[in-house]
Amino acid sequence: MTLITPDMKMADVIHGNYLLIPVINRFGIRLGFGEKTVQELCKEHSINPDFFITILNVYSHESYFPQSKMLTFDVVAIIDYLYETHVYYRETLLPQIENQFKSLMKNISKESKERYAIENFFLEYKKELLAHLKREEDFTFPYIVDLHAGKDIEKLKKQYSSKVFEKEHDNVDEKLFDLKNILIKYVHEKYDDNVLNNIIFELFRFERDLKDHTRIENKILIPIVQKMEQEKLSKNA
Amino acid sequence: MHSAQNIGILSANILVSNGLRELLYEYSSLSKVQLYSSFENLLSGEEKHDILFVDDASYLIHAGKLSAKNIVVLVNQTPQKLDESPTPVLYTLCDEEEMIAQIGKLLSSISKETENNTKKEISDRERDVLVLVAKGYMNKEIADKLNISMNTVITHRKNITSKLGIKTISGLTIYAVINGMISPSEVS
Repeated sequence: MTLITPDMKMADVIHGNYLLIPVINRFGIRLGFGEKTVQELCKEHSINPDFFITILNVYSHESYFPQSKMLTFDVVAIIDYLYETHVYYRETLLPQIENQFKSLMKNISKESKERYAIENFFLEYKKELLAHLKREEDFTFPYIVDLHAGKDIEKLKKQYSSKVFEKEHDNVDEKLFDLKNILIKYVHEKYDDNVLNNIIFELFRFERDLKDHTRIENKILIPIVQKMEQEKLSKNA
Repeated sequence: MHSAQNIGILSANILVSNGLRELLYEYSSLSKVQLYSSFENLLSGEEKHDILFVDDASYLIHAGKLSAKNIVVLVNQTPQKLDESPTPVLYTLCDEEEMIAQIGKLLSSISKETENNTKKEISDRERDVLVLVAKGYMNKEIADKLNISMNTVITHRKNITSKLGIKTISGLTIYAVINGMISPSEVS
């Protein structure tokens, strides 16, 4: 697929990659945009078109990651985008997958060890992911916003350093992969094929979205924070 | 996913390296291919590559200093019938079909050794280790219980992960429960 440009029609962008629909939603752009171009919609929604287009291109092309350019973007805009992604996971994607699991297990005996193990794994995963998202929202994001505003604040507490941050991302990614892998390779119960297939489709989609999200946090957010922290230190020195 | 090989391409010609990467993505299961435009670039990456593709010019200069499990030289010639070069070679002057055939041959000869153990089921000993991991024991405890060294436990765990493609402890736990190796009540 070609790189997205400001003069492209939004509809053509979506025809090229329908997975971008939830991504544009995060910027407040909703379906039904008629013949409008990317640029026109950005203007209408007061979005920085450069930032918007870069996010879409990074999402669409796994090897495309203009890090030096992205490091120049407004950190508050990046956080807004990441925050909207969290909302999407929490309020849409996770409940949707949870419902699908419920309907998958509807006809499976409560005695089934497999049922127990899978349900348990998903619930544990959900809990862990929610806790991770919440920690970022309660702690990391406000810290970065304050740092950006030049407020005089304590250094990010040691127990939630960028290392921990990255490790949690790895965990979240690996567990999702394992869940998918187990559903593909090792299930024995007589599940409804369509329901199981849909769960797996959804998990693939989730994995893809999460990968993009993690990439932005690890390669953009963390370096920006480290740079701001250093600048602050040298100013104080 | 088990063929998670780490591939590098060293070529000053971005069109060559990008083109090769596209072909690898399209026609093999390789999913991680790094591009390097110069030898210095490669050094600073500090990646350990399973296969490193190198253009002939760079190979002539840096041959002795390249560290990778397998090195393949990109040669700007038509494929030779009698290939007597000691290093594996990819001839770049050919049509796409022939190129894909060359890549396929090369990868299957290279991956023979590396993929050997990923196809098998887990062994009895690995199963013992897996059960203890799923029950929540630490490596040291597992070593004591089975009377083996810590390093052996770690090796078993690596093999289990590469055979099953499951990386996390919770993933291994449901695998063990689903396959009747432990009952859910034994999970801590």
